[in-house]
Amino acid sequence: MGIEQGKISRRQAVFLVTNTILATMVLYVPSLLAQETGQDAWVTVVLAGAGGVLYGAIVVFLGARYPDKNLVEYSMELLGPWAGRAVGMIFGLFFLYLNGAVIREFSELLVSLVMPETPLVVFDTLIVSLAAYGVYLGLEVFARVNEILFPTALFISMGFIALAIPEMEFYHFKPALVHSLPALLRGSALLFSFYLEGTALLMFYPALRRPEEGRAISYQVGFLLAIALLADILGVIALFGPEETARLIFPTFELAKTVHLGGFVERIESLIIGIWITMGGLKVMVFYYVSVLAFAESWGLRDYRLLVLPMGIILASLAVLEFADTNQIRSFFRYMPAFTVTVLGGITAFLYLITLIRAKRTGGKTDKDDKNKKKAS
Amino acid sequence: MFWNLLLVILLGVGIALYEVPKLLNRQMRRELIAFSGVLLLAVALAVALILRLPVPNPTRGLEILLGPLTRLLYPAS
Repeated sequence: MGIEQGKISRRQAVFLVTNTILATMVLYVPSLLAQETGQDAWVTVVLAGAGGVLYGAIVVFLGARYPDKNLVEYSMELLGPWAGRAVGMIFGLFFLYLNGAVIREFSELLVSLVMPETPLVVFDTLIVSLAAYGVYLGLEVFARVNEILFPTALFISMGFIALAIPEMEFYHFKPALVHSLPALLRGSALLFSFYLEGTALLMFYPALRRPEEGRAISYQVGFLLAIALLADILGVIALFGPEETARLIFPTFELAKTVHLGGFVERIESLIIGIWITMGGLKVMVFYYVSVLAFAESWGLRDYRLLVLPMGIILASLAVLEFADTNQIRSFFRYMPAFTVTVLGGITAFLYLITLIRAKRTGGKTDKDDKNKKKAS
Repeated sequence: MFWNLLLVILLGVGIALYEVPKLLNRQMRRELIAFSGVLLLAVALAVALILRLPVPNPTRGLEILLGPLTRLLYPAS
């Protein structure tokens, strides 16, 4: 059947998807949201979270409908081999491009915060080689690594925010709900575009040990993300106030800088960079894996591993090529909602509609029913 | 620049030496073609970047393509 032989548990899938969405979200988004909606940023988290869970319901519906096929395989079945291949290639190219952007964001972070003298390409290449190693070993390996590292990272980040509570001033939220609905919706659209990255799940859904139990993934991911983001955004705004947050590039990092404990726990912000690199590396692995698998499936290859190393060179080059400077990264976030909604949302909605139409035509039967009938007769 | 070029080409040759024998042993012709195509593209892209050839910036293209939709969302800018 599929190329992937490894099996993952539902918890591993939930953590993988949550980590994928959260890793880049906590970098730039708090400041962008504060620019757009000021102290009402928490409303956009709620709105986008609700939208994300709804979208997740569609994603897991598709996944549970074809429990032993990934997105490219059933789009080939639904749309015919050529259109299906085109969808697979678009899916792969999208994640390849986005992965280049993610790698660039993380290298830029390291350059601007830790090692300003080192060329960007160095971090770029290091992240790609790390990710290539993980992807070469397979889905099961990095899913297990993520199962250990993601909760740890989440716990430590929450600890940071909790330690900063003494410095927070909660009057910063005071004129609540003063921003207009369009502004709130714009902020939610930006957040929602990150939730859409969760579509990556459809490429490894068939690797779930019990695919029929996968429906819970959508709200479990939504819940984890809502908690993490709310804590982050509320903490940052309570600490710096909306105007200051909007001016900072990495507010979460500045929050970690303010943590002082009893005169001896000082300068622990390097720890938060370590956490970000862990999460970022795993996110890059997931995107890398998804794009390579999508290409291998749509070209009808029997293995995806042979594409991993050549794609790595492309990824490292793309990360350099994609943005001229840091300003273009920030302005790219304006184009993110339109980009992800048209590509990922478009593909998912299209496949969902076709599945529904086909189900109506065949009287609500699924492929599984057909198979069972064949076995019975 | 010369050393960078040498490094990228050596990397490409190294990857080919690592993967191609495995593919030949298992008689995977289709996979071999895909692998060579992607590897050639990758090395060409990296070499073009090192030589500072005018490679089009994909983000610029996306910004032009998505401009109308984005202006719908952010009418002010």
